[in-house]
Amino acid sequence: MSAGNVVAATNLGIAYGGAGGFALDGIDFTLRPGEIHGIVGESGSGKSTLGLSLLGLLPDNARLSADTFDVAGHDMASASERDWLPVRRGVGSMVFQEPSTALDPTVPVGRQIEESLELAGWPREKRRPRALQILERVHLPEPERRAGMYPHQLSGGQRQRVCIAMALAPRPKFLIADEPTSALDVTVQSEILDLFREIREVTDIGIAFISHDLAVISQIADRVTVLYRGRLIQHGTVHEVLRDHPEPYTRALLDAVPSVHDAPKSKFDIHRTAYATPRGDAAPRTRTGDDDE
Amino acid sequence: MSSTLRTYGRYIIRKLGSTAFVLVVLSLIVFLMVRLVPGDPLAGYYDTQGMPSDTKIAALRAQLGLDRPWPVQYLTWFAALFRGDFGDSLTQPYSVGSQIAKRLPYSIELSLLSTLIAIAIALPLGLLAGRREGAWPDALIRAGAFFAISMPSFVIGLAIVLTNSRTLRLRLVGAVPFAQAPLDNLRLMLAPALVLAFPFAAELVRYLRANVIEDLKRPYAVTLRSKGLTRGQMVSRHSLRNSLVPLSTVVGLHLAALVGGTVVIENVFSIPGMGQFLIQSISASDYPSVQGAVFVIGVIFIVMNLAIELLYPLINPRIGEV
Repeated sequence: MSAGNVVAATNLGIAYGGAGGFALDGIDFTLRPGEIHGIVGESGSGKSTLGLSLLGLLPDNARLSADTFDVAGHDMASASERDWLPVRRGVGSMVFQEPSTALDPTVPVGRQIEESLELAGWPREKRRPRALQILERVHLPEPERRAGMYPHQLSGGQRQRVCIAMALAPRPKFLIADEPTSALDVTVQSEILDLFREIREVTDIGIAFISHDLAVISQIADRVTVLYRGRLIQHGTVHEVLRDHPEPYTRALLDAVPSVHDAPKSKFDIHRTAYATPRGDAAPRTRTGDDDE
Repeated sequence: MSSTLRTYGRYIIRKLGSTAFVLVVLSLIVFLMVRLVPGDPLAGYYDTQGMPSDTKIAALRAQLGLDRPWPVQYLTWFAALFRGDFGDSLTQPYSVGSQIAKRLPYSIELSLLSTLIAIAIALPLGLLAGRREGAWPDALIRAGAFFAISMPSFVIGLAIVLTNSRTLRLRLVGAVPFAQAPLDNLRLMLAPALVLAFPFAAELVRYLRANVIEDLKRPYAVTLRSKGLTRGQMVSRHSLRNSLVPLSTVVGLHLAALVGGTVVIENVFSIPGMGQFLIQSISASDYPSVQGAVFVIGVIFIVMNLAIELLYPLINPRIGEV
């Protein structure tokens, strides 16, 4: 295994249940320290499955196979739940899409961060200072006060900051972020993206950033892996994949993103587009008083 | 935090207000219910003193206040309640208050004891079953719970009494006031409490198990797993607490139901509790006794409910806020 990678998998496959169904097949994936590696694909492409597999978080009925599967120096090709514990405890961590359900609603957020530290083996007296420090690092305002709050007392963006703080607190070597901005408002989304960029600048954590949103990936990723139906379509730097040499499928994904240039130029255009719809395909007109002219 | 305290204070006041209202409604329902049940409190007089004349009966009625319109009777009774006066029994030579004071401690003790036993049994078993869903400990615990729920409690009670009478010959039947002989009292209460605890524990085990399984399927459980918690840690550190709100509801209501609902076990073990008193009073159409007993049992229900609701915000911080 090359020393530069924090995660390295070759010919990784994930299958569910009996015969036939695979979620991932023949995936080669590496994650380097200090990079953001974007994983892109439409829903069902296997991008979340890939993310979860890097911490062994797949459901019980998932079967993993790989030629090599090195996670932070541990060979995880045939790891059991117990084998994964030392990796999860402080070596690798995860941030999920929905911050409102990712935290225990009955425990103050500071305590949840301290729990991560406890599991990673931090001594008791260092946990609280570290929790407050990391809350400050993710720019949660008034960390001292907010650490005592429950998740429902925070806004969505603040909750996601807490989740990121919880993931970063034990100083892991890699972080998996599964659509971490998709559930947030656009303005909050860009703040969280800034935070991820900042993490890349100041730490050497390798970040696997999963998203369906090519615009987000193009803004933030160093390298990109494109998945489609569990297979690897393309892999390379963000410029190669998204700008210079997109494969046909990547091209199609790019074309599916509405861009500002395609937008109608004026109100008049909008009306024309609307009226240009063929009669048969148009939405049925309502039978209310609106159309009695 | 003072704002949290203030929210909690408002919550308490709101709950107290609704409780007072419910108490008044309860007293009215109890009063009317007793009179809707067929029967005549004077029936007992006919038996013991021969057939009295109509004028004698009318005089008795007037003396007991039964000839007045029911709203007047109700208000008289309700006003007396405030002074702690439950009135006198119509058929027995005692005041209702003194009977309740004598019997209620046994019923409360029996309920509390069996509830504590039930929780002590159910908590570890329910958490274990939920944690090992589908595995053999789960199957075993579920089978045991099924048995304990299906078996009527008097069967277990009688089995204990009969077996004991042929083997150990311990004194199991009867009751001693706790204040007189605490140890004897507890020794005598243990068997009936156990009998009452088994089906209760079984119910709690099922409840806890389902709650734990559901909680482990919630999204935050994946976060916990990603932090490196084992399934056992997830249950003991998080699911337990998250199951306490629904669990405390079940425990509280069941506890209150036990206070008046243990007639059968009270009979098996000859315990002079509220259940026995209530049944005797109903068959004698002893209005003040039935009213008093039902009202006190109702008050216990309501107070338990209130206690649970005041507990909720302490367990789950989201309740109590708007």
